[in-house]
Amino acid sequence: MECTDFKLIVVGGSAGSFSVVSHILAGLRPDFKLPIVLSLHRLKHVRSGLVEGLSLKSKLRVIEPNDKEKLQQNTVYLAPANYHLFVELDGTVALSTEESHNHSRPSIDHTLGSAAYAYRDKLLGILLTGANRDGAAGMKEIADNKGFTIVQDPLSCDIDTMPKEALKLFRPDRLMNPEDILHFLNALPG
Amino acid sequence: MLAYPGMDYTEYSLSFMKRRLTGLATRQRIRRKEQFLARLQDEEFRELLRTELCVDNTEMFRDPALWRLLRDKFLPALPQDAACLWLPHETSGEDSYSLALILHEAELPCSFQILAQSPSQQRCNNIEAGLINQQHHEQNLSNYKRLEDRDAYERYIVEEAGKSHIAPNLRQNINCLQGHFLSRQPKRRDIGLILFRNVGLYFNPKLNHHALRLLIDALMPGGYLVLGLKDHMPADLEKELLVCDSAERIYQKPILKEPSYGMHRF
Repeated sequence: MECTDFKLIVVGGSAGSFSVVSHILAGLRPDFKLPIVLSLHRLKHVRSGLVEGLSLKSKLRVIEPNDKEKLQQNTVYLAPANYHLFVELDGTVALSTEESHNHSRPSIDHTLGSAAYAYRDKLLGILLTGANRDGAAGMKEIADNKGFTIVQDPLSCDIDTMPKEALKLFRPDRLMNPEDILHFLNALPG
Repeated sequence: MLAYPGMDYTEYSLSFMKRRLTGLATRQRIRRKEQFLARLQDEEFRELLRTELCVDNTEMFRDPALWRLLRDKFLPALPQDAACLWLPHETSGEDSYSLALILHEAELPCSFQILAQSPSQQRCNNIEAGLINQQHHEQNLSNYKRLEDRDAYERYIVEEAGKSHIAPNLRQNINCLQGHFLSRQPKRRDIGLILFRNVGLYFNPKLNHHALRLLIDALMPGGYLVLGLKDHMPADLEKELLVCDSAERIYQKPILKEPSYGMHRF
């Protein structure tokens, strides 16, 4: 499938994904409009540091949203430590302290799955490097809801478990290394 | 669900209800709406539903910095007449136990009553028994160490019938009130602290606003309201409060001064 009419981008990643996300945010056009939601595995009890680290090179505003916050253009939303982040039908963020999923809170599956349901074919999902299976089912939900899917090429991953688990479940629209993901995003209209 | 008392979840977040009910239906092997409606007639099932719709606290001393602030700064500064510390929507008890433990360690007056309210009778029974979720043990231990910088957590835990409980001397100040706080509030004017952390996450914006309005009204002047770190506080309500700590989400209800012209005496 080929689609460029996206309304939201969701990105999941775990071990090794910080440097990939940081590289992508640093290279995005400053006028990049689409809101980006990041669901990255992180230490549950370290509240600060990650958003600041990502903000250092990012040309876009990076924030940890409060519950019920509306997703806005030109903004990157990072799932806060020890909260799940769901995307709602009305384009707001819903945080949750419900049970861990795949030993993770935030859970990538939860973020991706909820966004898939809310945005359907207007969603672009990207799954990066990582060391467990969380995210694989969420990416499949995006594909099942006719969203566009990009999985990081396992050959370019620090740890390839997460992309490989996804590839067992479905065939993504693109298999890309980080540099190609960046080019793909910068080529999107708007 | 509305047809049964204590089962009004109308204004809960739709996606939350979908997740929880789907999970329950899967575990209970309920496949059709008719099956659900039939089971709903059974009080035991309704209690199961109320329990399921309470999200467990994730651990004791979640956000250790908050508990440190409460212990060192805000609990000692409670209004003089404050006697009740209210948790309007307690679930698995960890916030109540954390509060009891810091009151004990700070040697603050044991006259404070911790009032833990839950829609679920089963939850109330567990809290009164001081039951601790064994799966949270390591996290509780680690948080306590972050808070107190020592290994004394385990001396507050007792084993009873193969389960972990908070020590009896700590739980003696915890009282439970069964019922949803939106329909049943404690009738007292000495509520000096309300812990309402990560509860509004599961309400829609309208109910969240209504709930916070109700809590602010129930709080005595000078008392403190504590929200979860990422909870939504509507701007109009925030204007009524003093923001004591924006990072840890601690608010104070201002003390109203009597009007100098003595209108209230007429």
